[in-house]
Amino acid sequence: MEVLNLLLLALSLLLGSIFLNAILLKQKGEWAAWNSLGISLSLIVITVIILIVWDGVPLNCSWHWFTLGEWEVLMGIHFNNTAALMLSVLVLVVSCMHCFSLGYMRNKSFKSRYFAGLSLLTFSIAGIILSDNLIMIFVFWELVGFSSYVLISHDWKNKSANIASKKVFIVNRLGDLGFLIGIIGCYYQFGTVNLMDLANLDPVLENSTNLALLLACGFVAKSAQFPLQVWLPHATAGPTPVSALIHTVTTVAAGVYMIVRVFFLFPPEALQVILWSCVGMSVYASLAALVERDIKKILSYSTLAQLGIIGVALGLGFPGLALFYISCHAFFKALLFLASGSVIIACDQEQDIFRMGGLWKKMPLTTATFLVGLIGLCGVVFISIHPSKGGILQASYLFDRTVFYVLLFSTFMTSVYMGRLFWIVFMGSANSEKASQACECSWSMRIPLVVLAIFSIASGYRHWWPSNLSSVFGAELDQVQQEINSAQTTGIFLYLGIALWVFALVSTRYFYGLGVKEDKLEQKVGFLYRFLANKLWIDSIYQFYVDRIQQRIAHLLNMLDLLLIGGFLVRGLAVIACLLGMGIRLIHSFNRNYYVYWVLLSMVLLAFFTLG
Amino acid sequence: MDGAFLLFSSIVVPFFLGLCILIFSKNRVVLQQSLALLGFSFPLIVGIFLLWSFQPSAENGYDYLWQFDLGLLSVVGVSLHLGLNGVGLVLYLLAAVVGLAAGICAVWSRAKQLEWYLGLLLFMQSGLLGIFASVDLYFLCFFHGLALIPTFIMVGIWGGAGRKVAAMEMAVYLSVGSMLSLVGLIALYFEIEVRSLDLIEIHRHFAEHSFRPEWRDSFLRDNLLALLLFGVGILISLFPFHSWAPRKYAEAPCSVAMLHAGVYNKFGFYLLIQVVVPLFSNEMADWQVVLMGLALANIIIIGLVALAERDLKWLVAYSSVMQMGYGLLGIASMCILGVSGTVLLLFGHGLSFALLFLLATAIHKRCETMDFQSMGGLIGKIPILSTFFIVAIFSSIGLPGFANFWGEMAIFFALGEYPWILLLALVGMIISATYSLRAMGAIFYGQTNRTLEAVLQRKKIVDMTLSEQAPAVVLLIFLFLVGVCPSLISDPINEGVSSLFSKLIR
Repeated sequence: MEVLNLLLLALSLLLGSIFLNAILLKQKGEWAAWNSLGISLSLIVITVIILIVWDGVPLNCSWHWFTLGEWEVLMGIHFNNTAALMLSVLVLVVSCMHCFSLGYMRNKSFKSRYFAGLSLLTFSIAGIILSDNLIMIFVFWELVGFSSYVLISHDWKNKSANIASKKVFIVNRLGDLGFLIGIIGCYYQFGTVNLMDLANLDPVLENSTNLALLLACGFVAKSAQFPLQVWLPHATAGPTPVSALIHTVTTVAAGVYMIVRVFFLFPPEALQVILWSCVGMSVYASLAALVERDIKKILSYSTLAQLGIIGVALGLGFPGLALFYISCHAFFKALLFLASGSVIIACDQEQDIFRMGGLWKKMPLTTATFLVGLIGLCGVVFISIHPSKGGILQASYLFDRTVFYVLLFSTFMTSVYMGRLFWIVFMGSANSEKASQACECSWSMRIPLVVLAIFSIASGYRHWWPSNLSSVFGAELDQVQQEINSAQTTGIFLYLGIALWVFALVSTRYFYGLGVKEDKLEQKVGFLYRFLANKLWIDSIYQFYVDRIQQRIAHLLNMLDLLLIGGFLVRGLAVIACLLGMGIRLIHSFNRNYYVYWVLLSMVLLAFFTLG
Repeated sequence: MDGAFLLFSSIVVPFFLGLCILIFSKNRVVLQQSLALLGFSFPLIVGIFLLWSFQPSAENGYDYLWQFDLGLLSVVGVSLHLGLNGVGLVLYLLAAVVGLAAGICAVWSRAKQLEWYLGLLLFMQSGLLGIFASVDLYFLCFFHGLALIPTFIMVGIWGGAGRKVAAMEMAVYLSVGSMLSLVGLIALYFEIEVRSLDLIEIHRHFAEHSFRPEWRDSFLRDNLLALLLFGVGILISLFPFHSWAPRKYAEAPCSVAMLHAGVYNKFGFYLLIQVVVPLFSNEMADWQVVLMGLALANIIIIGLVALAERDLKWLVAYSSVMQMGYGLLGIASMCILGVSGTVLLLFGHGLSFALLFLLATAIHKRCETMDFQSMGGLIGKIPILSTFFIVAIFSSIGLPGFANFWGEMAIFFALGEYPWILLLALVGMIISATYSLRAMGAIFYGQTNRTLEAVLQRKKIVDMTLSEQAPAVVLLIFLFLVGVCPSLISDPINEGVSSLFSKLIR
């Protein structure tokens, strides 16, 4: 039970941190920052203790929350090795973000709200990781949406942050719609929403394809897959540490993790749908990243592409590999985001890569760590393809060649757009006033870079993971490796892996040049650039719907409501009542003639009723 | 202490203190204020005590029964019969909480003729408490009138620019609604043999005849339910009888809007849950489709109407009307879970919309405008008020951690057998998120409008004062407590709903 107590301690620390920051420390932003950092560091300690103490046996515990009618809601913790893996990665990355935020938030207002938001986001993700039933997952799911909203809109004067925060929340709610129907469907079909009970059901499930696809809606929204991917690039409008969290261990990881938790509910047909939609996303996003000019948006599209690859792992039936890659991805993508955040701060909020250039002389550490992240993202750890991404590629090679070739293309494009980014931003000479005055940021922003750089390299080696954690993906990795070995294709992967990124980096070096001011692709192959920059018109379609259809219907209904129901019907009734009143008032008028008429009329009526 | 006596006194004390304020404390503001605070806080203390010691009898589900014969019992079967079952208890507590918050708000409101304002508000409060505590249908309507008349006067005198129209419209609608319901109830009284307006008696009579009692008139039997639903529909501002509600909420003075949106509009639902649906459960099945359709119309059409709204108070008002659609949907699902969810939602809805009206008024005071296109960037100017408002609006659209979330979730789970209706209801959730976020984006974020900037400069804007924070905190605490620990009120709800519905439906 020790582990359980430690987990509860971790959750209550986070909860306490939210309230402390939000209520008590609202005047003392500096205290709130240190308080949050302290708590996130203590979470690391707690997690390490848990990993040492825990014997690897899954832990289940649930309590009665409340009953309404026959609907009993329990709250509980289900702690197994997947939860342990995600929790460890979460606390590591979150602590780095807190440390980075110390420097990032210096001289900014409303620090306590920001750090309360960070604690809330961490708390809700920890809740999703540990929950043992779907209702609780949904509770924390909604809290993730809320905290993302608060954090992204933190820079309240910024118009794009304002729009982005709305988009994030609403698009996520759109996915929650399907997710909630899925949960309710589970409850009606199986009578339970507890993960353990669901796992112990008979393997033959009717209708479970529909159910699984409904649940996958949650994944589609949170992990930004087609057609709800629009929110993720916009989410970069928030503060950089927040973008880094959202793009790595929190929001997008939650979707993948949820699918892994209920993986047994997914029949092959549902997995097939996920597989192909994610394959498409990995290509779409890596092409979109190629024509983006905003450094954070490039990384954001890159996340979309990597999530596509992770989704492919799920679709192929390798949840362990998916978790492995999302853990490694968390480290190097967080690193890339933080490095880009340093660059943005150094260049005084400049985000356009064509107005940077030549930064490596001024920011050597940032450049070096960015390069480490790039190595991780392109799958180049020590000249062998990064095992997490490589595992997924190999698995797709074994199961579906088409998927394999598409993924290969997407991997190649990853190296291309990252090469473009690197050569333009860090090499050559400065392209703007701001970039020429850049210098390294404060120590609190450099430490996380180094820490994350170490972890992004180390995370590729499965033997360096604690055995409790590597058991999540170890078996699947071995299985893939073995089959690849028996097919005698190890060599191909090795050479292919090297050739891809070397070719990509070299070709972008010569195509784009170092530290250029204009996009060479736009100049040389304009039609392709413009086609890609449209991003398949998906954003425009949404915009069209919101502006032209939804808002117009709303205005029409509003007018009808005021005119027809509020005006015509109600006022019409009032007019009838008024006329009646006027008629009756004639009885009491002081004109004697009327009395005569009334008396006559009543006599006639009296006669009519008495006689007839 | 005897719970029944406390219940009785909690209704009488505010009324009595209201009289005291009007008679004895002319021009003595401090005395007025302290008397009013006493009158508003006493019911809450009693309410918490009653919640804590609630032990319903197994026979009829009521506790704290207290009967006083006014001499009419033997003649027409009417007596002052007070008592609470689970449903009544929860709504009684809601009235007490919102009453205290509205009271605090009124006490420091600097309204003209404060003694009248406070006195009338206290009358209204005792009427509202009485509604949920009376077992006898006659007194149910009596207390409803006691609450309605002060509301009408207060909207007409202390309201906004369009107060006259709003007051008249509200009075006409509400009296028509309650009159139709009353006619229905009187018809019930004459048509069945029980000859009593006591709810417990009526229930017992219906139960003995397995809910198909003998009717004298078959026409009435077939159409009484329609009449009752029509009346109740007006009371709960069901589409298309909703148009009075937004105008009224928008024009009413702050405390009245809080009490009305928070408590008073629960009267219709209370009638539905306590009287109409249990007694007519057999006939209700025919109406299920219609009710669900109307509830969805409430949710989606009024949601879209709110989406086009540019005035903050109107937006909140439309939003309030829209969210009540979920309550009706819960009842129309005709199962225990749905009805329980509705009661829980009513509780959360009352608190969160009282809070929203409070905060919207606070914003209005500072900005002198309600058009949120001409606001912007308020979170930088008045961070505490803005944060309160954001939390309040999120609680009203079902953020976990607040009471509304569980009410909505219960209703959605109850709708599991009607997947298409569930889908449409969930579309409503997206609409509500859209209009709320749109409003918040325009009000709190972005650049401050120039004219507003000038106004703020001139008025030397201050953030929330203590007299605004106190009621907001009271409401938030209860929202949060119930949201985190729903079992606080879910147990009485279960008792109440199961005693009402156990013999009837799933």
